[in-house]
Amino acid sequence: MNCKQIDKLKEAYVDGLLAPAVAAAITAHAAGCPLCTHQLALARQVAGGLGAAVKAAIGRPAGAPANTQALRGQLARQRARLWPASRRRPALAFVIPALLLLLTATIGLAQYAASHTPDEATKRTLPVPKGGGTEEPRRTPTRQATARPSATRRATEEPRLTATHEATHEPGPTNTARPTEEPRPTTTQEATHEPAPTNTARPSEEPRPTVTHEPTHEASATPTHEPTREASATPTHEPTREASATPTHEPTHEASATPTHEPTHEASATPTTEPTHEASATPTHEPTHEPSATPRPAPSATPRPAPSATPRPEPSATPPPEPSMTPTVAPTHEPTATPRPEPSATPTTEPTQQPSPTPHAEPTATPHAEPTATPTPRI
Amino acid sequence: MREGTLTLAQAAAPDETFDMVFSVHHDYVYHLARALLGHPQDAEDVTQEVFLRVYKALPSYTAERGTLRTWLTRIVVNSCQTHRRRSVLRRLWQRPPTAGDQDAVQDLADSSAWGAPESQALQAELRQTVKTLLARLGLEHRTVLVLHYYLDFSCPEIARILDCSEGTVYSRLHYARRRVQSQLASQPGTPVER
Repeated sequence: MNCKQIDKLKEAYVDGLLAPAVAAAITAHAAGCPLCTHQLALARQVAGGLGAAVKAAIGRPAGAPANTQALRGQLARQRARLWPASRRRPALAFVIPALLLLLTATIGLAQYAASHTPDEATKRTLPVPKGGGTEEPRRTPTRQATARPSATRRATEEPRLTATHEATHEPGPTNTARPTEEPRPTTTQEATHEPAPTNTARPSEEPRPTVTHEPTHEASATPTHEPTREASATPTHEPTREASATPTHEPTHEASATPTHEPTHEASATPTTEPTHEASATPTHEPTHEPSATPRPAPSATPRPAPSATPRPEPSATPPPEPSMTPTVAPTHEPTATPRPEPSATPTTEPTQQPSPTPHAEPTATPHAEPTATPTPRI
Repeated sequence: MREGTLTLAQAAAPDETFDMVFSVHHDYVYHLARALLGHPQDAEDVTQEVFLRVYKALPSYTAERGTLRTWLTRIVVNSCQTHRRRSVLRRLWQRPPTAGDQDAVQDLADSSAWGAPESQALQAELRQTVKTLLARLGLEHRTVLVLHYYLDFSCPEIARILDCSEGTVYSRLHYARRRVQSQLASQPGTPVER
């Protein structure tokens, strides 16, 4: 044991923390070393008096500062702040994700709208000249059914009836509906005329819907109503219509006949949304009516000579004229005419001739026309 | 206030329990912070921070954490360490205690430990040395010195407060004492050298 070692262990020696052997070695060394003896004595004095010295240096905790009340007030304020802060955290935790969701949703909608609007416009514009695909009519019918008022329904239903008549009459050669087919060629002409104006002026959506509606309604309604017509309305009906009803009135008569036959279609086609769409639909149809007005006289002119020639022989000899009618007019015109003329014919005729032709006028017109027409051929 | 009664009281009325703890231990907390930091303003700031922590943690206080005084001491020590870390400039500055503070400390000092007239010189030297040493020691050694010699905590208690071993506490104590002794030995007028 040397002096350096004793200098490092003197505090532990004074506190009695060393092992007895080490403590004995230090005691033996200090007995022969005055310097180590002096260091050990000083360590004992420091260890004994340091507590009082520290207390004297720091001072007793005699009293709290005078601002104890102020400190209490500050603590009370901060304590009050603790709870609201803890309550605000969950609110922020909900608000921030909600804002993020709103931002993402708006961005997604904007991108979706930006990406899909041009595609739809191109799809709508492209199929119009081609006659429309299967997908387009599906979209449009809903719009037309909702958009067009009662007048539009008539127009749409009328062509439907004609189309259904054609389809049903075609297999049945006895039907004189082919005279009605004669106006159909006119409707086809109208259809051909219409697409041109529609492509330029209209948004090209309106003609499609009518086309799509017809096939759907025809499939359901025509089979039931048509046979009744065929049975009751002999070939004499058609010529009478044509003769009594001018080309402008013909579509109205057809429409009047249709409501009676297809009440279900009218009811289904009169949704609440129609009035709202009517405003938008009518202006679009009007420009088309003007160009279509020219084709009307043409169809009216064509059927007049045709019915006069064809129906008259029909009543006398029903079987012979029928085969002649069916191959010539019905098969060729019906499939092609039904989709195209219906949309074009309905808007063009109705708004111009009967801007306010309610369903009441139509049913009244139909019974009058048909019964009156039937006796004349008999005579 | 005893620990067992405190647990029942804090469960019944936390605010009332906190007010009681504050009124009883405010002086202790303030003086301990002042002893550790050496500055009245810092001591007030730390005292406020300590009682905020106490208010937050008082509901979770249990007797397993030790006596309430030990628990408060631990909070004060940790708050002082945090305060020192935050105020780096203040730590570099190390504002020494003013003359008025020293006079007040001397007035409040207990001189009964140095009753012998021969020890009066050593007492004065030691007191002055301790003052300067406390200002120069690091917070770790100063904390141990204050807790052991000023607050009379035992080394095991200090080890529990500081969450360290008893050997570490002794080592720090011996280091502080050695510094004091070396300071006294370096002074020419120390009674020991005589």
